Amino acid sequence: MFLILSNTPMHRRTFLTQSTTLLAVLPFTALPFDTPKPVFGHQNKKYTWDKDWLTGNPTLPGVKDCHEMVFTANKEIILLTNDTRNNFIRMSKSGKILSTYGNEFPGGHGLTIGGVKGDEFLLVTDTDRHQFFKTTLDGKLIQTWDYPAESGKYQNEKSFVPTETAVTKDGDIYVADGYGAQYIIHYGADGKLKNIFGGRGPDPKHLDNAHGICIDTRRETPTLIVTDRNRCCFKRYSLDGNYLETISLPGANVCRPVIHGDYLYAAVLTSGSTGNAETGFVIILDQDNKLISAPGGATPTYDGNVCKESYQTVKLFKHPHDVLVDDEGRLYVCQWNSGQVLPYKFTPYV
Amino acid sequence: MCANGIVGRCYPINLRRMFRWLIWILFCGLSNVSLAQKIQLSPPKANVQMAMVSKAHPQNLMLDFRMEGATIRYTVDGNEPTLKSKRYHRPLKINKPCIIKAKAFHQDFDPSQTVTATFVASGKKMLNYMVSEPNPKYADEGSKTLFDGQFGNMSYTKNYLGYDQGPVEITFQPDSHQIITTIHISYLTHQGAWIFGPSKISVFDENNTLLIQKNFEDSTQKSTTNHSIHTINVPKKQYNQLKLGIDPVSAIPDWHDGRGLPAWLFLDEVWVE
Repeated sequence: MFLILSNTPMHRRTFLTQSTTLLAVLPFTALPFDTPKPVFGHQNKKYTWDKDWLTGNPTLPGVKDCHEMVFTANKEIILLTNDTRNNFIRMSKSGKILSTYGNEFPGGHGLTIGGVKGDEFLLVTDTDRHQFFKTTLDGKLIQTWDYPAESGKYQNEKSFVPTETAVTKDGDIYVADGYGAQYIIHYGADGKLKNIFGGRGPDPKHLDNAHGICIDTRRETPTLIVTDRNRCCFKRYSLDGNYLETISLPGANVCRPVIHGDYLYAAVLTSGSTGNAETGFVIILDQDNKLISAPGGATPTYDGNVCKESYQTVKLFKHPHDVLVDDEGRLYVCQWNSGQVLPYKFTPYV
Repeated sequence: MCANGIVGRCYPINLRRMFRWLIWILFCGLSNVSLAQKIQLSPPKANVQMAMVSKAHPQNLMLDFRMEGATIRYTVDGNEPTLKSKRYHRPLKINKPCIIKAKAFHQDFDPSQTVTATFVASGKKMLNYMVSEPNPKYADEGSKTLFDGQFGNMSYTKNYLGYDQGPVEITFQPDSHQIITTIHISYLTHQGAWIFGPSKISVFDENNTLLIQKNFEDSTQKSTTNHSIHTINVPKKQYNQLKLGIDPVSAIPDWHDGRGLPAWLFLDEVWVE
């Protein structure tokens, strides 16, 4: 435009320099118009990706696998990694790394928050140490549990490889032995063994990679939802350990269930089978446990009551391992074995 | 120009011009990168990776990619699909040999990698066959596995015979009225699971005379997991009996964790044309 409007005679070299500069700048100026943010997910659960939300911190040495996250009453995010340089990374919603601490959990895997504001605590499972722990929010050890020898189901600590915990508002704790003997172990608020159920086997009540567990508070009577990852489903049990139903999600190697509002969120490590590297996505189920959205995955489709196979459609994630939903409905997704990336953040799209 | 001795003038001009072009290329490159920095789509799902077909026994190829705004495009001539290729709407009925390649496209994302479905002509009838005992862990349905017209996929647990030692001997008697020109052997390469392709295939006739021998040195090269076919031409005639001797890789190469140890050989189908 400048070149056409200009009346001043121009040397060839000046012309070249100016036109080159103008042409070079054009793509940059055009950028915001050319690249609207892609939208991930379906129905009323669509999101855009805030790729660079974390401002980083020069003191952060790094992470190995980002396994799980919790949201504190102070509206901060705590991430658990199996990197003993900093097992815990505390972040603000806006993407500031506030502090890093903890170096005792080489197999830090499951992270759950319990208690009320001012008296919150963390439950951490360690798949290398064959133990699980209660700590303060800043990672100070309160209590340690070894393998449940008193249950009579375990010969030694090696077959106890706990991946997840869930805690009721009365303080009862459920532990999922997802990489071990597949039992769900129930402890009373006094920390003593109360019940053990699930276990490996072919029946609906049995589990195969009980990777996660949560208390489903969406209905009047709370129940347990347990991951059966190798069979691509969640299983519902009563709090006293009776099997109730299977929520089948073909193609989805689900990690832990996360309840937020009327919805259940879960990271899907891989599509189809755990051998399919770098094919994960996220799923969201409604209050009837129907798949309604799959950010990074195929459009949820039902054939009658049967959920059609889910799979990855965009290479947004590699191996998502957990989803956190904050108080404003934003999603945070952390990943296992994905080039040591910190969690991704997603903002609801309306 | 420089060779003509005008060194003093020619150098600065060329440099300046080169510098200008360099800046230009750099800017173009940078701006293109930032514009094209889209997330890639995952490949569409195909219900078949490899299958035998004939007029009498066609196969349906179903492609699936459930994403709003996305299209699947495919080719039947072995070329890479582009936005101009045919759009997939419904299952394709395949009744003759071909290679179908498909890709997913969407304006907000980079096109997916290609998925390939290979359809080969059904083999000639066999009167009889006999195959070396595989490792009992990977014996599937025994000798029949190699002659049932069913290919395996990338997972070695089904439709394959697995061998951890060789040579593997496969003897078969084609229907003697048929003229034979070609033998096909399909196998799996899955180096992460220590499965390599054959290192050597020898073909013998009914008098145990060696007809042909082929070495496959590239079996020890690094490779992605894939399912492939070796095709061997034999003198065109009727055969009462043919025998294959297939050697696994005897020592896994140095770049692999299993260096020095014998590799596994996984075969899923043998057929003749």
